[in-house]
Amino acid sequence: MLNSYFKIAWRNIVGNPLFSAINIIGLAIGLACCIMIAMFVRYEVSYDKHWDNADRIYRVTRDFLGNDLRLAAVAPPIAPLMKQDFAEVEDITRILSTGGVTLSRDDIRLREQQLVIADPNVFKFFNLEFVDGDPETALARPTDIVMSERAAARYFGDEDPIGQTLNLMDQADVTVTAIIKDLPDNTHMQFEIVGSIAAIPLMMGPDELESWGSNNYYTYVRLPEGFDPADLEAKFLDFLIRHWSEDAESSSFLSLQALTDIHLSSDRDGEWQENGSINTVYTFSAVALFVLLIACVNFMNLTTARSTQRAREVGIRKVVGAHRSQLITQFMGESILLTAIAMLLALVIVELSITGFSNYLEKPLEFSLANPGAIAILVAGVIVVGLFAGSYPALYLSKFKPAEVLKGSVSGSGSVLLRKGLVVFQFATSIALMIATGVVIAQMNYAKNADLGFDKSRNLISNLPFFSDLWELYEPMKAELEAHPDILSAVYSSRVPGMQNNDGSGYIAEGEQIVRENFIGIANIKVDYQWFDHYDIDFIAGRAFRQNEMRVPEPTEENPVVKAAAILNVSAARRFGWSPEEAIGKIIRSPLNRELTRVIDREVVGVIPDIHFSSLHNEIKATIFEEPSPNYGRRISVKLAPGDHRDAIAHFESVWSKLVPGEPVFWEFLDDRFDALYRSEQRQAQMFAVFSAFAIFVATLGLFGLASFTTERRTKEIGIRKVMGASVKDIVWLLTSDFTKLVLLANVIAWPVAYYFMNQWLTRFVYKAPFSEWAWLFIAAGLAALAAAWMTIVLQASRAATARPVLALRYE
Amino acid sequence: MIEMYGLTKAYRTSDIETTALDNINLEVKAGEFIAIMGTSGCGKSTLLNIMGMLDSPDTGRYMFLDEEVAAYGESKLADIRKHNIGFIFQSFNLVDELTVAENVMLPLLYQKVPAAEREKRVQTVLERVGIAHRAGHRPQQLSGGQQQRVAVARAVVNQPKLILADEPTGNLDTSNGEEVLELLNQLNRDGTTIVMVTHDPGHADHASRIVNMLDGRVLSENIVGLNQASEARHAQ
Repeated sequence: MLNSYFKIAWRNIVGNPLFSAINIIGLAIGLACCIMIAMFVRYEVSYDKHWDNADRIYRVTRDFLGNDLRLAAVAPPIAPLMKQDFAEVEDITRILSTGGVTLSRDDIRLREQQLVIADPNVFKFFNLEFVDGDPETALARPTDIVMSERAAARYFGDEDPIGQTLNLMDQADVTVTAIIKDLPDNTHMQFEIVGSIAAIPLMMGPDELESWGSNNYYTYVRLPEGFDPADLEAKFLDFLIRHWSEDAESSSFLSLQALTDIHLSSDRDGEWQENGSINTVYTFSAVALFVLLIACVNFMNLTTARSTQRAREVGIRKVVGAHRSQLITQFMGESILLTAIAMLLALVIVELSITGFSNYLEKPLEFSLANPGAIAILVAGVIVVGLFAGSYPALYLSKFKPAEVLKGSVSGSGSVLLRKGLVVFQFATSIALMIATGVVIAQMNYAKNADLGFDKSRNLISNLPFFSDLWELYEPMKAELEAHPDILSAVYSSRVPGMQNNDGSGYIAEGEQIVRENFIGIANIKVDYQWFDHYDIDFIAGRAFRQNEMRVPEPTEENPVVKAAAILNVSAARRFGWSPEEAIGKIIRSPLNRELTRVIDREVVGVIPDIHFSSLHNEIKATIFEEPSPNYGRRISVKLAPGDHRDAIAHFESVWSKLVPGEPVFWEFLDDRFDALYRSEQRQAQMFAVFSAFAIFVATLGLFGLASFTTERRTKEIGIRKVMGASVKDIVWLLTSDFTKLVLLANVIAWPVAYYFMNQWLTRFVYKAPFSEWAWLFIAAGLAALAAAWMTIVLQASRAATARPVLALRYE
Repeated sequence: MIEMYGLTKAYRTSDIETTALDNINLEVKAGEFIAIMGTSGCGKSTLLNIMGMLDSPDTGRYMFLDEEVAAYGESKLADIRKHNIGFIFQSFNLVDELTVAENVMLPLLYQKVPAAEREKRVQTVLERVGIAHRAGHRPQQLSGGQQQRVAVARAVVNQPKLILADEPTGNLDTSNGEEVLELLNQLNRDGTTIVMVTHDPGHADHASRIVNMLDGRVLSENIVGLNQASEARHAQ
């Protein structure tokens, strides 16, 4: 019996090449999309699951209420105090990311982006695998470092690195005490070299590890089995009040994040790296499934459309005694066989494209059939998809009554409505995907071309090293750079546009009492006096800094109040309750110590508009611009003249080598930094574009098949109409108008759906492209779908319409 | 109305050539009722198709209403057809997806007759063939005789000068067949020219002239009255 089913199925597939090709190609594309997205999803959800006790490890995070800071890292005293206060804390560890320091050995000098400083227990905490050395003592001394195999190979090649020394920032020698295995790629933490936290007081001052303001230490805590993290979180407020401030409740709170949730769900200020997004995972999964669904719909539509061809077979089988269930089994078997062939083709597609896909996503995705689990999943996929696609046709075909079909009176019209509905579904999906692609692109262009309030063009950005005196380095560098004819200006700032700014302080307006509750937390940026001119920022009120306002002495016990100048953006002025004009001449005070005895009094000398300093994803922060400070970030922006930049860049590099010898030169263009802000959106847009192209292709393929069957079925009608006087135009319109109506209906459905979802998507941007900028996409997507449908149908329709009517009637 | 001189038509498959029509000369005058008879395969349907411009001859001349149409293109032919000719087929050739009234309305639609006028004419013609009460039904819901009456209604709704009927009674029982023939007679009495293909001699007798065909040629033409007179003489 099975054998006979298989034979019939095979003959049907081979005997109807158009039908089979459309289904196999469509299903193969749908399956290939699903397989590749499934690999992506599996990789994304695998992040950090591989660590020992991953389900019991949490990251401590800190939020500040005053200036909307949501930090991924916390202050260094928190870890030891938590260990001391809470019995349920089994273990806790801190990691400080340095963001890049120079390490050297003889001629090898490298800027190590992935050098971190950590508590000695970090290796046991995450159970990192040691190749050499002792985890217990590896970071005992301040000068000990542990390297990954990959990092060690950069300096020592095949030599034994244990006991060897390296030089850190030309400041200190450090000794390699252990080698660990490279960290896997699927972790949110990225480090290759670990220094000892014991070095922190030596490098950053004796108070650093006691500082509650240095929220730079990623802190991980392990809780007992079955312990509810909310029970620990409930104790954090008292903890902060006890150790930090009585006003903790109104200014800051701590919380816990599951380690395994960080990669897909955390989007805090100061993450290790840009995390993935659970929304991306959901969106891509949904879109891949839609492509597969469209392919399944093709199968349903084409099978029922040509049901008259199978009706006789069904009638005869029933007459000779087949049960309906046997016929259902037979038809299901056929769709599973077809899906299996499509799966083989899909595997070829995946095999050919996986490397490109993996490079594109920058994820090490690997495709292998060696794993029996993978094969089981693919086989299960074939059965599920085959059963799904075959279900409706099987039920429909097996229902035919033998007496009727053998008389030849099956018109196949019962399924027409459903078929039309499915075509509408396919096109609505394709249209919605096209609109989604367009909106993502429109938003990206909007972000790229938005008036940010400053001129970011032709700016080369670099970081000045920390170890020297800021002014001794910056002033000669500025002078030498500006001597070049193609360099218009060079200015210092603590942050450059396109960066998140997590720096901030508490300020008190003039006349208010200096007590904690009067503090307003506001972000600040340190800039040189020419910075506003450099970035072409207009003033709403007042003026820019003057050169003589740039060097402000530290307040001391003898001279506790120091005078300085400040420039606010409009939001900052508003936070103090001032209009831009009112703000000029007002004094804002910033205390420098907890006792509030040393204070800088800043007179507001200017107010600038709210410029889009960071990405358009974020709200513009109230910001105070202040004079340069050596304890903040050190960036230099170099404005280049229009034209060829090579000479100016070469000049920058030679000035750098002269003034910062031994420090690897680093620079980037500000425009690139801004483009990078929208990289995930760009990738999303490209993925959407590819998927919607697949969706529309598969849908059009189905429409082609359907149109050819419909035209064939209507040959007689076409003949009659022509005999009655219909022209070629009339017939082409007759055949296309039905599908045209369906595509138009698909638009009516797709538009509101796409509008709703894309509006949702846009909520992630604080500054979004207005509807008027992307309204045209709805029409364009509709027309594109219509054009695709027409091109598919008109060819067949005109062939049918130009045939001599007598041929059509002889068809009877 | 129709003049044909030296018409030939052959069908070719890859290796066989079949001569369907061989040097046909035929004239049809306005107001005539002509029956074309002959065995199957003798070319009667081909002749009718060419007459109705559904097919074109290989050689020869075809004058329709004093116009040489043999060389006309498809759309020009469609134009002539829709204004002058009504068709009735053995297998009715109704569009299954349309109702009776919509089927009858088709020719008017392609002549761009205004909607109100269309409704009126369809109603009138359906009453005339006695099928008005089934106007909203689909063809499959009607008996063969009823379907053919619908086809007749459709053929006459645009008041053609010529009706071409290809075995209009072939799929009908005797009484239904007679009814359809009576309808055709009536139309002929009202002035419509009719050319009907049939192989039933009894039905052919309704015509005023019978054209007998064999192997693609016109074998003989008989005026029905004369024929009957001669038969009567033989009987005596």
